[in-house]
Amino acid sequence: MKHLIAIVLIAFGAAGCLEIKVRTTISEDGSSQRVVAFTRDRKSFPDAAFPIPKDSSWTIEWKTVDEGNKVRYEYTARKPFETTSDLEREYAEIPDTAVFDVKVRLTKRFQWFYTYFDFRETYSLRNEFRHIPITAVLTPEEIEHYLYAYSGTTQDSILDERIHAWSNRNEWEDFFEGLVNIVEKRNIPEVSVLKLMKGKERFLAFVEVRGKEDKNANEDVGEFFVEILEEVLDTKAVRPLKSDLEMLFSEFQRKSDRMGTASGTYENSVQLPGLLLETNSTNIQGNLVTWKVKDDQLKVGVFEMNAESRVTNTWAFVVAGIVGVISLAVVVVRMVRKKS
Amino acid sequence: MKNCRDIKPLLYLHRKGELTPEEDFTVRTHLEACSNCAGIRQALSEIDDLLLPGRSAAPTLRNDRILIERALAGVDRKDQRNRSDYTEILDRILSWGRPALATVVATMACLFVFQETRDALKTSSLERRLQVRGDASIPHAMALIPYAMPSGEIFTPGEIRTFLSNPRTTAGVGEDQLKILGSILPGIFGSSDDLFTRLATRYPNIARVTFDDGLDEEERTILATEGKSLMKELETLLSQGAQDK
Repeated sequence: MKHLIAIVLIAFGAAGCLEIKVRTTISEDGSSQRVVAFTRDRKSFPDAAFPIPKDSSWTIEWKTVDEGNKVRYEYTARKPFETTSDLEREYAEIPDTAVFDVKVRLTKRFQWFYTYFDFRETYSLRNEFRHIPITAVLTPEEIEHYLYAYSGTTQDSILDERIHAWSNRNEWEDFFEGLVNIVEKRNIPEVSVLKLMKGKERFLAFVEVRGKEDKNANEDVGEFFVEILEEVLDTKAVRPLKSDLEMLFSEFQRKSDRMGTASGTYENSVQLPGLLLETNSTNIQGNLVTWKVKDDQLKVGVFEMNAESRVTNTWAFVVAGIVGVISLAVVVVRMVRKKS
Repeated sequence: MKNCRDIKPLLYLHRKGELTPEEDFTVRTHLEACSNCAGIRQALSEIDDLLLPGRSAAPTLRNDRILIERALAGVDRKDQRNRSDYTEILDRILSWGRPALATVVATMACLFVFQETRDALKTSSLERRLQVRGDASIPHAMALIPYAMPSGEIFTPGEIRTFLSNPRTTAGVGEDQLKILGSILPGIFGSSDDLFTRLATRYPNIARVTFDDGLDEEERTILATEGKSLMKELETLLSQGAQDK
């Protein structure tokens, strides 16, 4: 039996740290092809928050990869998009309640000599635990660094720890708020909200410490919380709250599990046509731009990916050349006529 | 003997004395024999006699300038009518085409300059950013990795990547250029190889750089001066090695 705290702490990792790779290839005419791929131990769709294509509009393939001691399954989904807006529409129907939101915008701008392609994609997590804003623990610079300059250095691992602590605290703040609501609703004279609020830190500390120590905590969750509350509030009157606490924890676990489906790393690549002009990625190979982001980074803010490229319109240069030659000819003709 | 039909055209020339001696002889002979042709010749001589005074006097224009100008204008008009087919069309085209063409050419030139400038700024900004913190900045540092390998051998890019991806060899290093350099330097200066002895003599301060507690101001200065020179020298040596090979 897993420890109570461990269950919650690793909730985000419950989905098995999926590594999803997305690659979008954009053509000069504005059409594109998107490929979504991941590898897992079973030939089945993971319970992932990321919108993994499953419908028939995508060409889905499962390949078996023999890795010597074990067999893994590689999922690949492909879909061509005829126009720039088709790609946008693909992710437009993600409901607001979804844990993971993807928004894609591809624009093609004709500007005579060049045609410009703007690619914008955002990944965002709908965090259900929002009691403490991230700005309370990280400065705007740290948030910016964590989102866009994360490279796994020692400094980054310190930020990782701070974010884990913030995330964990946020979850228990949510649980505690539920507990306060229960106490208010039950209206037990010996168990007042004020008393509960005073013992908040002790309660949370006990949950953390005992959750790690008590191997039976998860077998009788209600009993586990009741015992802690009895000690914190110094009263046996909390026992009637047991069933409510069980329900509260069940709801808490459901939320954690839901958030856990977003666990993993996401690698998004886009191949733009022509010359790459601008991007917020630091991983560039020619006109292939790649961003890598993990779920922890998405917890602190919306991850924006943008890139811009330009394609040369050769015919526009030819037309400009012809117009230039004609202009020159006009000037010459005028000069000749003036002389004659 | 020629007949009258052949002689008649010669009669007009005969009166002006424009015939060859042979023709003149033929005409004279015919006139003696043909009274009809002799009569025509006589009539022509009479007409000539009548017109002689008018022909000998020079024409007088009597200062009629208007007449002259009209005549010249008439000649010009005729000339213009001949040329109008192409010049008038060309004139019309040029009259509205010149400003239009100038506008189009100027607009195109401005657009081109604007687009090129804006795009150049964007790409240079991107390059600068990549040099500071992008993956593109890594290859320079990676070029030094072979010297940091324990065996001192030159490794393939794949082996270098494996070396870098090994958490034990690059613990705490990540993709930080200075840290990569720092991880390389002990390998370089810990060796007793002649090259490294020479480099250690030339760059004595680099050995003072440690990464245990990050980089302080002095270490940054050493890396920015000696470190930079060292990298340059190593790059030169590498390129020389590649050429010799």
